[in-house]
Amino acid sequence: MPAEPAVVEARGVWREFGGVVALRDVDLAVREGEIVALIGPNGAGKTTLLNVLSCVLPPTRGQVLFRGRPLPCRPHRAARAGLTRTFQDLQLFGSLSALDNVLVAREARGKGAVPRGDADRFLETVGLARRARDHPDALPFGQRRLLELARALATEPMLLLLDEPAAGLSTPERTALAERLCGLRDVGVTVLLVEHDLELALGVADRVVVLDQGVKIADLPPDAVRGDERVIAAYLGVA
Amino acid sequence: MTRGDVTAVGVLAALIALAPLVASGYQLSILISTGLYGIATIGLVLLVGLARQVSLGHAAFFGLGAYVSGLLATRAGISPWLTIPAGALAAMAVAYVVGRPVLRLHGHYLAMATLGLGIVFQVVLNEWVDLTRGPSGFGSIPTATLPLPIAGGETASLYLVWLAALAVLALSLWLVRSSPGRALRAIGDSEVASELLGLHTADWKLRVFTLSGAYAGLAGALYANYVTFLSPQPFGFIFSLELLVMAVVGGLASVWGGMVGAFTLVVLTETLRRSLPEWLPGSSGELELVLFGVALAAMVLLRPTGLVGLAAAGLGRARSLRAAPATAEEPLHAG
Ligand SMILES: Nc1ncnc2c1ncn2[C@@H]1O[C@H](COP(=O)(O)OP(=O)(O)OP(=O)(O)O)[C@@H](O)[C@H]1O
Ligand SMILES: [Mg+2]
Repeated sequence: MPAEPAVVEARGVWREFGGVVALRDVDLAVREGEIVALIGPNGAGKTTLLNVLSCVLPPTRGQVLFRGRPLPCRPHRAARAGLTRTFQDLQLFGSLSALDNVLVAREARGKGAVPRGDADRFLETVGLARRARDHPDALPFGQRRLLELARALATEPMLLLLDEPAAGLSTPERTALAERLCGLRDVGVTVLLVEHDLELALGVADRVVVLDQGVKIADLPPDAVRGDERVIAAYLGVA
Repeated sequence: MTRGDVTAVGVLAALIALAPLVASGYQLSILISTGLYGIATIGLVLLVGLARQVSLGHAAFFGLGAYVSGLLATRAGISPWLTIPAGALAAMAVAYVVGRPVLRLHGHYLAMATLGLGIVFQVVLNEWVDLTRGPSGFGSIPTATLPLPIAGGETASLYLVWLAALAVLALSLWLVRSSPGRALRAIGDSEVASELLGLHTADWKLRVFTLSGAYAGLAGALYANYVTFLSPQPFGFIFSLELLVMAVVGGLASVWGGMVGAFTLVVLTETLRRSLPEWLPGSSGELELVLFGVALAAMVLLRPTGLVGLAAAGLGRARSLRAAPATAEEPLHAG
């Protein structure tokens, strides 16, 4: 065990929906400054795990610790403590412009008045400065994802949970995203990344956790993933 | 507030100031009603349009403001200048107390709670006869008089009501463009995302609901001051629905929608009340209600952004014909 408590840690987490067991006794610890990729086939429970880690859903059993303490029960308190996330199904604010989507995130930090330029900066980092006045539904899908990323970054999180941030992005946008994620590591942001694009995930991650049918089946360095039998079996559907 | 808003509020203020010079007593009464209902409707525009929460009991806040103000002025002999704010505060307090537990829950519990509040309020007004005089109501409410050398009571009422209405309009226009307005819109769009940015969504919803309660209470207190007679009958469920219809018809996307909706419905109701007996002899007020229902349904189906949206779309089209072709249709988000 490292001396520093993990930024976020799941201990023996179960989550059931009616009869469906989405998470089965999952342990996961993400340490400060790490980028951990969470991969697994469709329905493996990746989004459910993010929901539990971000207080959107309570675990059926088990515990989530945030910096060694039990997670506050309401998402806004987790957010105030430095956690934020993006959503696989995109949860943008459709009645606000791109700039206001980011501005509202800056203002939500509760640190007083926010100059517009301050929000602009975050649009620039994802290459959306020119679309500041557009509303999300006027943006192509890939740019909506980038806007959601910009909005999350605008809270200046300590821990960022990303749910398939590259889905729908073009190849150049993916490359830029990968660079941006590596840049986050340099400034000490801890990232848990759910990603279907293995190349991207393995390219940026320090460590890869594999979920299959709600069970953590592997936790290994990125270069070991492609050769791992359990991972191959899970992905090819061989039981 | 945008520069356009400031201009529009200024123009409106000037029109109201000059109205007594040209308008008939009947037309002034329409303007007064528009101001009164507009204040309450703007509160609903903020609540429904921004935070996407529905109140089915706003008539109770309106009635509470009216009764608290009217009773204090009549029974306790307090100056109407104090009882009017007291009416607004009372409605605000009740909104807070009702909203606080309910808005912590997810879902549309507010609609149910306010529906219940409306029913309880009617029962109290009718049964607590010692205080409220029950169904027969009470009159001779002392009136606030403006320290202006103006003739007719109608003009004085017009100025008083619109002083409040313009203040509510300006405050609300500022609000939707400022940080609280953005937070409320964000919460209306995605509660989960707002929470995960650190917004305490339950608190924000409570704030806007409390404000909308205060607006309705203020409108009610001014109403009592204007009509000087109160009975329970006008403050029932139908009136709650009418206020919602005003908000939807005017347009939930803009604070102006509150005023436009109030004006439209006041004029429509008055016209119907006058001409319906001619068109359909023997028809009753029920038909009026049916027509309201049809207007609401039509507006929701055909033009979800209301009359203000319709006007803005018209303006936008005219503008884009003159300017270079737009890249994308600009969504309507007038303040
Ligand atoms: N709110 C819910 N209600 C009922 N079942 C759910 C709910 N959320 C998830 N599930 C179920 O839990 C299991 C895991 O779903 P989850 O969305 O976490 O998978 P995932 O790994 O994110 O998949 P994908 O790669 O398709 O996004 C699935 O069987 C899913 O049907
Ligand atoms: Mg998922």
